[in-house]
Amino acid sequence: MKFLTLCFIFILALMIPIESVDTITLHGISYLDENPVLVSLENGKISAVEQPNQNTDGPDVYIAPGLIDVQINGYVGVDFSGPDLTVEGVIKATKALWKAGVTTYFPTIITSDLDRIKKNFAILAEARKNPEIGRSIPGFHLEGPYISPLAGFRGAHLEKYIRKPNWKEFQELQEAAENGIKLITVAPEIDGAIPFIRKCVESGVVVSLGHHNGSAEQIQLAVDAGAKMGTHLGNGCANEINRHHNPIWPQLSNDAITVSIIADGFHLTQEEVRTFYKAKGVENTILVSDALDLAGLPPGEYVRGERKLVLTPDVVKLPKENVLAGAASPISKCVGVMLDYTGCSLKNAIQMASTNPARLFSLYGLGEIEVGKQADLILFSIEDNQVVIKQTYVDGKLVYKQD
Amino acid sequence: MTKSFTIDQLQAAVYGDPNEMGEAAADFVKSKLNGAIQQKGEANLILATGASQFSFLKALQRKAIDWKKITVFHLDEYKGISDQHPASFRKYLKERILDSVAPKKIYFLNGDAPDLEKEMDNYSKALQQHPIDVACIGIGENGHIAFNDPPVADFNDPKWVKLVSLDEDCRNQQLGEGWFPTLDDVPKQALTLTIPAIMGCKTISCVVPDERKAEAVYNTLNEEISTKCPATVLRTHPNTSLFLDTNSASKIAD
Ligand SMILES: [Zn+2]
Repeated sequence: MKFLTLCFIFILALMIPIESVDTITLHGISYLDENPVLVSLENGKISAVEQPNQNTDGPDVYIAPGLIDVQINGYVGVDFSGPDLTVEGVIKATKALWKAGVTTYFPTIITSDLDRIKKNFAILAEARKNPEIGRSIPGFHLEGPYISPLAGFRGAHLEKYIRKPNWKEFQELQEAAENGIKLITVAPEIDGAIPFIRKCVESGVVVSLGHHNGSAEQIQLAVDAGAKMGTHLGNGCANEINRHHNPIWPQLSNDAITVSIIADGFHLTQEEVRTFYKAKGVENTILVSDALDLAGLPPGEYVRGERKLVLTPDVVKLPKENVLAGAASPISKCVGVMLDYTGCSLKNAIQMASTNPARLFSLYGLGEIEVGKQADLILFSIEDNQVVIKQTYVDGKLVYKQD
Repeated sequence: MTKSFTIDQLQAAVYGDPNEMGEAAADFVKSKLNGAIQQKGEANLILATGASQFSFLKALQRKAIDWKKITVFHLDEYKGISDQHPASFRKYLKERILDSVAPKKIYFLNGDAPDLEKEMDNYSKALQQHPIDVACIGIGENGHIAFNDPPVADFNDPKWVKLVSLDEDCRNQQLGEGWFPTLDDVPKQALTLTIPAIMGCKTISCVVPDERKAEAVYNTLNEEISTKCPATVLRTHPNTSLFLDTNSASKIAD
């Protein structure tokens, strides 16, 4: 009788059509504890995270949440602040970033002519509506134009476009961006900055202090007004500063400030990276690439405007002066540099490149491997402290596989 | 503060208006969270929703609290509504506090999860792994805490999280607060933390403003401790503060 019932159930089971939901199960080594893990993806979300049976040999790759870069100026020749930006360009850059393990990013527009900023934000806003890549762009970063006009502090930002904070003007930019500006870099010491910061925070925009020469008091006022971040600490700063009174110490000492750092191996020394990491801790540090549009292109000579630039495999230089012109490493590279420079765990390195930005910008579905989160994942190996991306999943779909 | 008093173990205080009350409750919660952070480096918090929490949540996000060290849970969520629904408690919390404070970790109770049993099981496990330092709650017009309405409230509930049917009074309150266009739109079921799950929290901060709640407040303080008015159970908790305004306290004798 029992046998008959079992047969019956078996036949019934054969008759029920297999559900059309595709489940993909990825086998790898968890970035959290370096133990084997099975991660199942269904309908674009993570549906299960399990320990595999002891005897199954898994592939030798790490698995982690996709990386999130909140400061990137362009990629594969597409310049988000440039005159030639198109929706197609943004799509191309996004897909190229997926190959580098970056599944989410904030295209960053720097200090430029106001009309250019508006035009480019409108293009970015259009690109966000693209069903294929739109989810990879939850917001934009406006770096400037309300920053220090002083040489050194203004960095590569053009002085003629640097302005005093103006709430009405910012609202116009925000309107062009269809409310996509989620992060703005501002100098706290310039005229009108503090009330401007307060208004930005009230409107839901995260304010980061950068390209500034703010005093400890001015930085504290900005924090009181709701500023939460410091932009690429140690860069966007003059070469010679007062040893006691400079913009770096107060940002290091204040736990209310999360700092972003360009740990590409060139923009900060190993000692700076180690010191910043020790002072801020893993919770208060995030990695950004600050990459120029040349990033992702083959090394060589390129012309930008009237300048001749040289792209090495790691960084962009001005050939005449032989000085740094900008970064060219996606944050997957910075993860490797953090491991190398600080000896931190992989868990901490990924936290700084994914979990922390997700938390800071309220990207609730991202930054962790957990049931119910969006299935944005990377599979990678680490070879000589370099992250090598093997596969990238966005929204549960395989979008990149290394040949 | 206009007055304060203690009934059984419950400490209550009455404030002039909802803003004063919200400030006082926020200061209380801040000191408990910061105390926990000092002691063990992190804190676990439960937040409540509803119109009664507006002034408190507004005040709380302005307090000096290191949110990067705080893990947040919430009390309840309707069954079957998405986090985009205007009445969703997840949406409420994101917009009214979480987006701006960016806590270390948030556990959302997904009332629209495909497998609710699994969702409740996961939430229960997460709660067990994070002993709660402060639970912020309110009291409903029918005397409920979370969605433990009188018919379903159980002081000895073996579960941590359960699926409950909402009683008529409770659903009418949700309609009255304007979260839904008609009574038919108010879901008939919800997921809720149980009473033992709430009573197991180290500290409870209970915020109850408004005339609408005067009857429930009176019952909480004066009725015998029973599930007829679930909030009466708070009088047996060793570390609970009840924050009232003059309107919600209007039925209490001087
Ligand atoms: Zn910069």
